[in-house]
Amino acid sequence: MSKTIDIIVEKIKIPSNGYTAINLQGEIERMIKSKGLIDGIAKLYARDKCCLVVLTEYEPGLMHDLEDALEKIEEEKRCLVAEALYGKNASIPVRDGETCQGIFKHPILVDISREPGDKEVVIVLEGIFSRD
Amino acid sequence: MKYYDLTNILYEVITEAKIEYGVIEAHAVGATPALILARKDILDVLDQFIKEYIPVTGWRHGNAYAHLRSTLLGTHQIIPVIDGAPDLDGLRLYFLETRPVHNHRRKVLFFVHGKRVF
Repeated sequence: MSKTIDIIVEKIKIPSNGYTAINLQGEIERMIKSKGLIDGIAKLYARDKCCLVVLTEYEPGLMHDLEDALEKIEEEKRCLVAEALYGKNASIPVRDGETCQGIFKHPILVDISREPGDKEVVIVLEGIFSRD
Repeated sequence: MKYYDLTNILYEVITEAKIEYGVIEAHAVGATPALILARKDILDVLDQFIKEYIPVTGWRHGNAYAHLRSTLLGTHQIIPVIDGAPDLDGLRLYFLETRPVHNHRRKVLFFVHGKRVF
């Protein structure tokens, strides 16, 4: 088995009802395993309007709290202000083939578009890969 | 909130990695701290804004305020490395402890990539 430094960029589609928070930790873990990333960084970016990617604990109460915090923003401008404040991307360190951002902190796709459909997330894996 | 200045560590990590041009990424492990790039003289203003937007009480989750502050501010920073030093232009890298803790060991991971000095 050889090791190489590489970068992989993929787009995935996440089904959404248009107003929800979706945990992407499983997607990231599956991709890290399938692509063979050993040490490096996994990056995520939400391409669609009114979609955020945040790093936090995926717990129902906390998701409601996040919703409350977002609702403090004036409704008319909520999407744009939320994107600017909370961000549309996340970066996660990977060591020995595992994410190591902390046990409870997961990448969450927050969709406040109120437009159901597939939402596109770009995932970039960069670092040292194992090659069979 | 407590602010820990990590700027000197940033310089040390770059020097140790012997990188002349590239980028350094800093990641705070955990779901309640934050990492920010800021000028020292705006910390009071930032502190006030965060405390007003995300107060300590009034949430469902136990320590929601710490999670939300961490989520809002972010837990990683990307800084260009030019001529073997972080290109900060007066900014400093701060680790924010968003909740009261005592004798708690925190972990920050640094990734440096770029052209090495030979």
